[in-house]
Amino acid sequence: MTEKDLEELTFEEAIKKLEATLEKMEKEELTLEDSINSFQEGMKLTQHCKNILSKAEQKIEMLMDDGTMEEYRVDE
Amino acid sequence: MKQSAIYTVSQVNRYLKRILINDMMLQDLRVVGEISNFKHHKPSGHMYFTLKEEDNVLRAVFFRGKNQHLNFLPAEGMKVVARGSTSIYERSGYFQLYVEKLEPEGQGELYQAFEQLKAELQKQGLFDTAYKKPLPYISWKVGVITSPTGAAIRDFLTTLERRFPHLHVVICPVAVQGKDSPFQITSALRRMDSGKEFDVLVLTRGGGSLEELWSFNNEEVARTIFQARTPVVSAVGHETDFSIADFVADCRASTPTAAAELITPDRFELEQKISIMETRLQSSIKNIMSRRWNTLNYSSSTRYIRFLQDRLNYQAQKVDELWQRLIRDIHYDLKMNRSILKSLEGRMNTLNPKNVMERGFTIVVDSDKNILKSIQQVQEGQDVNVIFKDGKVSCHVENVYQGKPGEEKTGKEGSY
Repeated sequence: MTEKDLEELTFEEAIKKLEATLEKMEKEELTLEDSINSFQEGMKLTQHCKNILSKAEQKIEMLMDDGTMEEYRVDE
Repeated sequence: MKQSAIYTVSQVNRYLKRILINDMMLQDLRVVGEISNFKHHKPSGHMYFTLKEEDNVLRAVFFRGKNQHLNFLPAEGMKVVARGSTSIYERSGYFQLYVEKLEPEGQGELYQAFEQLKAELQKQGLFDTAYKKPLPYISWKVGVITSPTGAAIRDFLTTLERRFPHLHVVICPVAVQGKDSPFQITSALRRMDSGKEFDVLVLTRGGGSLEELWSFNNEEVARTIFQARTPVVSAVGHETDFSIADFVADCRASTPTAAAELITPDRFELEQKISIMETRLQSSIKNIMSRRWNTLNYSSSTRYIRFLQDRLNYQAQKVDELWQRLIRDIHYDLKMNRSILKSLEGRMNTLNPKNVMERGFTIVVDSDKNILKSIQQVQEGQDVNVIFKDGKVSCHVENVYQGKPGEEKTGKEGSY
């Protein structure tokens, strides 16, 4: 998997891939080289997930009649 | 009862009670009226009030066991429909209605309409679980259809903020009650569903009376929810309120807060999940490496060395063997040589003329010291020397005899 492929993964896809990678590694099905590659890829995937979370900021908008968006604030 | 007889009060009341109890109509009737003199007796939980119609009143009792499921609070002047049975309370002699069920007037029809629509849509399969779309693991972009000012949106957003403050929320403001409300809700649903940009749509409002929640029991709203390609979560009213929208939506949440919890993971749980996965990755690579390392250690330190040792031992043994063989061979050769030498010596000894002469043999030589081995070499009248081991004798041949000793023939006579 290239860096670009990894960057394009959604959070859910990355989590799924991680789970599959872990399963393979824990089942001891891999050669040493594949294990190391899987480990490196796994670490990249966790980092990718963290990145997605840290970049995803909460944003609250209100959809207006004319289709534009306005920032929404909760009235206390 | 007989006309001339005199009865006690209790006998009259009991008689009256018996008549009332035997009247089918009076045992289950619905009475409409305005509530007055409402009293909620605190320790017991029973409710006492009168139903009023202009200048007519009917006393009513609503026991706690029946009134605890009431979804509205009765109040003075409220027009209600009470359903129950009538009887006499002997102690006061009052004729009263024992209420089983109480609802605001008009709600009965609404409820009937609700039940009818529910049955109809259910028959058409709009509530079938087969049509329910699963919610995404995380709904990153959420469309919320609700009033922008109500408690519902506040509860919803507060919960999101606390639980998972990473979402993009777009609120489509609608009236959640009133005449225009169903149309606004269906328009909003269609609008937000058409772009396919939302992971989930949340239709929500806070609690209210059946009448106030009526937009969510609208057939057009129900069909629009059913047709939406985006998963729809319905969260209308409180835990106890059910709407048609709840039944037809892909997922029902009991409250706006529950809806927010339903569409998001808990951020702490999620972060923990990721860090658990990280730990698992690290420990499994560690395991794999240490297993490999052990194997390597085993082959290098144990197996390979043992293999080398084996070869070394083998070679050493072979050297030993060869050495042994060499030594043995050398000894053998030596021995062989010795015995050969001995036999040669023996042979040499037997062949030594000196030894032969020791045994009494003599050698005859001519004057030229040639050894005479045959009678042919000897002439009569010739001088020969006979050599003894310890001296020689000069002889003159007189006769020569031919043949083996004792068988000699004449002509070659001689003595020896």
